[in-house]
Amino acid sequence: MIRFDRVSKSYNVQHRLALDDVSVNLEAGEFVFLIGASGSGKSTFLRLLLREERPTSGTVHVAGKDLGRLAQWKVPAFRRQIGCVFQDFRLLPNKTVAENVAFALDVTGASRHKVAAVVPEVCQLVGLKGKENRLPDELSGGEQQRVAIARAFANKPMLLLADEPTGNLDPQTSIGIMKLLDRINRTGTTVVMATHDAAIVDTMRRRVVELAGGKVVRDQNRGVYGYAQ
Amino acid sequence: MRPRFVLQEIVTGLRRNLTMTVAVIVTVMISLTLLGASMLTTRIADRMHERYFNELSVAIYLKQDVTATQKATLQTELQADPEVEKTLYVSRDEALARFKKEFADQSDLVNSITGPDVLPESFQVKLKDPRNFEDISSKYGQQPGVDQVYDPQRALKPLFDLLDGVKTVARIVAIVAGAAALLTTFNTIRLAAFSRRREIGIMRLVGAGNFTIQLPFVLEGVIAGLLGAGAAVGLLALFKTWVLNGTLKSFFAAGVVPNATWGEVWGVTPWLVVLGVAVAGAASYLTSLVYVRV
Repeated sequence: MIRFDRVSKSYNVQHRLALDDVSVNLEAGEFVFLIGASGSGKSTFLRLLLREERPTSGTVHVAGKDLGRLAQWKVPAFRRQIGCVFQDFRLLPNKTVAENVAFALDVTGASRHKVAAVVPEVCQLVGLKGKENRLPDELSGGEQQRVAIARAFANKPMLLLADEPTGNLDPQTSIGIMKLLDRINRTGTTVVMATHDAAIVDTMRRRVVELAGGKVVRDQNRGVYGYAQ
Repeated sequence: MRPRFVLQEIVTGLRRNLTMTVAVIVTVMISLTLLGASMLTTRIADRMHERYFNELSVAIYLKQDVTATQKATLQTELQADPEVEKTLYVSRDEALARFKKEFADQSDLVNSITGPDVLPESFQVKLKDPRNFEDISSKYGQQPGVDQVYDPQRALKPLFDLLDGVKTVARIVAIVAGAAALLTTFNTIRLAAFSRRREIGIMRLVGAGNFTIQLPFVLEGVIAGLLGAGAAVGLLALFKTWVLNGTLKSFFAAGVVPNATWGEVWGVTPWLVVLGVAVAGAASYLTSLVYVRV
């Protein structure tokens, strides 16, 4: 599904490497935590997966595609297969919940019929039924993140990238979001989640890839946040 | 791409950016109005040229005491001249009749002519090439019996110069205003892109293509250009109604300078609309290429 093959990335020639010779394989349908201190390369890892950046050396394959060789005009079609969730939700403040979710479908040229069918279904899945016509600032943080997840999931992506999705949420709300991500994972969507939330990683016991200084220092199935023996 | 979605994005964009959109419309309007005015002036000048160069002929006025022999010699020479296309003898009576007809609406002037003796006899000479007036003037000006050779084009030169001046000034101001319209469009789309950077970021994330992201910006420019062109056409129509057909009515009634016809006003409108839409659309497209990079 995802293959990093000796990937290095430097943003600036004089600077140290953001990613340093990273090789890692993620299988389809996996749920993977990406952990590490700030500046350890987590964001670069995700940006390479989204093809926002190209590796300085090495290759990144996603679903059999070599992203370094992917033509610029094919990037939008590629991104439609990937859902993204962020710490700051990134919702459109002047659009309702339903419109925010529909936005992902609208820009890909989905028919009105499809939008009308998918939006309520996805809203129900994330537990926002009955709040479709609210504006984002009328919702709690947890609810806003659910909207973002609904939007990310609306195109039924094969891969869901989550960059600290619980970073702005309280522990109780975070558990709800994690349950939702877990449920999406069970539909077959691969989930890669960058996080600092030790409690969540320790509770979920999924595969953990830890980065430090741009290198993979740990890759452990059913891992925990701290160093396990 | 559903049209309704694109339309919604455009309306949102135009409304959010209202002051700048108005600025685009106004600058486009000003430049296109002046361009239209210069085009109309060109048509009027062309029409005047056609009329005076093709219809009017050089007049060779004869002296009061010209003899019949002198007249006959002149006529033979003129008819044999390779530069002359047509020669017409106009007697005093005919000259008076023509004069009365030409200035029929100015009775004071007509009444001041008391008898046929006031207006001289003449040969009206039509040249094959009107620019060869100097040749005719030097060849026949000193002939016995000839009083003077008169070229109406020469008398009209200041008028053509005036029209040329109007045309040039209108064109220069149109170009300057056009440049201002371009810069305003550029700035407007830049602001629109900036105020929508959040949407653009999200559109990129969910996999919208360049076309989808740029289309609303380009259409915003096109709509502003179209509105500006429409306003310019409206202004020209008002100018025609109030100034050309109103204030300047008597000036045109004198018949020296022809008025712009409604046909000519409508004739320039497609150009203004096409130009306004094309320029504003192209400026928006280029700006969005720079600021809406995917």
